[in-house]
Amino acid sequence: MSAPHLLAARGIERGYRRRSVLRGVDLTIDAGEVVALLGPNGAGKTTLMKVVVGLLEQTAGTVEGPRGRAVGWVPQGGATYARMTVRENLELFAKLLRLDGRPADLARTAARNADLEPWYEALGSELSGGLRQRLNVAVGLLGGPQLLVLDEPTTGVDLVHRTALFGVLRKRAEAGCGVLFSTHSIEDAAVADRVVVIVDGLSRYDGPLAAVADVQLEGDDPVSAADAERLDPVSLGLLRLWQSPDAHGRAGSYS
Amino acid sequence: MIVPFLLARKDARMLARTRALLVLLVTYPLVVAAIVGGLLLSQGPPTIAFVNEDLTGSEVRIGQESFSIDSYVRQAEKNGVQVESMEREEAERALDEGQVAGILVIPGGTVAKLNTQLAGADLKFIVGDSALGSIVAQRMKGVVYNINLSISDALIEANRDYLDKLVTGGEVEVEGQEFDLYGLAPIEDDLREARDELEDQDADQELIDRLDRAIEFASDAGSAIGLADNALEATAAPIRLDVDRLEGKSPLLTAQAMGFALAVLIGFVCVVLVAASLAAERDEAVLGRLLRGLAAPWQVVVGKLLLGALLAVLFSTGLFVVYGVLEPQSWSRLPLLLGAVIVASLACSAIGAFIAVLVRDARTATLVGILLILPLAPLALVGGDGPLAWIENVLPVTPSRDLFNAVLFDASPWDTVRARSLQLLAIAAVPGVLAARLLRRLV
Repeated sequence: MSAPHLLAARGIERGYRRRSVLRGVDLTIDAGEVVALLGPNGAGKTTLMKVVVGLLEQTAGTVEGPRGRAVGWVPQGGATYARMTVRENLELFAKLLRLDGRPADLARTAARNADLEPWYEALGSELSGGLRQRLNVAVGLLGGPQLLVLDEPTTGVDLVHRTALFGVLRKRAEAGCGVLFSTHSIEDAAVADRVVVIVDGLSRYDGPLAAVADVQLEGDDPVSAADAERLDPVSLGLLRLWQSPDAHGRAGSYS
Repeated sequence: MIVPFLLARKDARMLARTRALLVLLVTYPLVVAAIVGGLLLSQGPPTIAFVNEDLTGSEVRIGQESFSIDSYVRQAEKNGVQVESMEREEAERALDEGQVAGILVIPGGTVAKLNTQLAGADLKFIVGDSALGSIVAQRMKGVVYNINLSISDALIEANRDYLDKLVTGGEVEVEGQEFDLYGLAPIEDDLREARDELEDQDADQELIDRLDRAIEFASDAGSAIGLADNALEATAAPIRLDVDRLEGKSPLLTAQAMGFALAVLIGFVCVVLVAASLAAERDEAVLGRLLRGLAAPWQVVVGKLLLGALLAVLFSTGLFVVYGVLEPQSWSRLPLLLGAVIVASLACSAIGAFIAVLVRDARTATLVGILLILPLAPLALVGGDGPLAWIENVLPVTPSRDLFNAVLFDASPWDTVRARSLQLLAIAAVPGVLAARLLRRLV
């Protein structure tokens, strides 16, 4: 009998006003696992993550796993205060989380772990995009969450900071933390142990990234011959999933 | 409860780092105080309509003195009010159109009542619902005080004359009839003369003793009536104030200007800054992080209300320093004023929070806040009827103005303070609760 998942979301549905965004998504994450959520714009990745971290209530389905402060949340867009220093941001969120220990000590440790000490007294607005994102992740990691959820953490981040960021995530996973991040990038997804592809509010694939290349679709190939020649097998597999007519209605049509 | 304080302190720290805003926080209240105060103080005296409906005569006659109420009212200029005689209908139309700030009516029978010296009379003063109306009402109370003082003086003088005549003898006039009084002093003289003659004639000693007692009574009565003169004056007016009017500011007007300026300032500062600040939490993507278990929606909204209160106190203190220099006696009202400022700020900040929830982004929230408060400022200055009056009462600027005026000027402000504070707290509660309930819309 396999160990229970750290997080198990089943049949998640959620919409905004009359528009249905998630239409029965399944998602599991195990402790120590890094999972990438892949999908085109508007697929429902952010909405699914907000349901997972408890920011949005699903209209159908269940979410079992860590809740509240046991989940670290790293939203898009910096999500820290630009007119406060790195120290002030970390201390504020440490206080709001009501963590054990002195906020000053917790902030210093978090900055050290995120390699932000040289910019400890710099304002958020003075940091580069990559450093600001590191601060964002450092805030998400405060208190040592069991599950870390990151919404497109590499947007606007250069290779150096991206490598450092994934280094931090891998370290957290090795310590037993489950990590879920969303991305559009195949390079980023390659870092993950497993990828989940979401298209039009439905899970279209769940498995290792390399195996996306083996996805076979029923009916006509939605990818042009020119594109098929130009793209690598994994990208081609992903594009087929994203552009498949089945993506607009039926789930699980891949084999 | 510590979370709202943490959030408010964070906002205050961030605001303090915006130098341009800091300079604005210091200079803006002073500039507004100068403009509003200057405008109000530079205006000429307000005009009132004067309607005399009394057909029973034009003069009140008391003893040797006669008074024309009409002419006294015309002396209202001394109290800083311009008077124009009008018919009742014309006066009411002028008040409705804002051409006059109030109507003073002398009802029929006023002069006849006063001439009896047995009954008082009621003058009627009608004002519009504006800051100017209450200024003029206060000034008219000064006019009536002067009339009362003159009538009181005349009554005392007339009664003193009667008493003098009782002692010295002479002619007196009561209700048009003349009487010739003999007087206690001549009686005493006559009695002394009669006593001396009786003594020379070796008259009965008992008769002489009886005359001595009568002489003693006449003498004591004369002395006692002489003392009553002064007592009468002292009883009628235990303390009198001689007023020398100097050119310069009017404390009441300054208080009104201060109340208006504070209400508008707090309206702008709290609505605009709180709306922008809450919407900015969304723009910076921090709100979602906060609402994911770090702070409840109500704590985020209360944090913004605390920020608004802090800003309002800072602004108001700056403005009050200017006012306190002009009116040093007002410093004793500072604690009550700060309480009023906090109550007013809660209402304005709650509206700011509600705007942020509705419009979502900081720029639009700022614009909507300005557009909301802008028309309320002139409305608070001139007042409105019908739907305008309703709008005034459900939004915080006019109730704040009334609250500040009561706090700064009224001798007994508590009724107004209680009523207006409750009104402002009710105004705060509705948008505040709605903002907290709808806050997750911003995530």
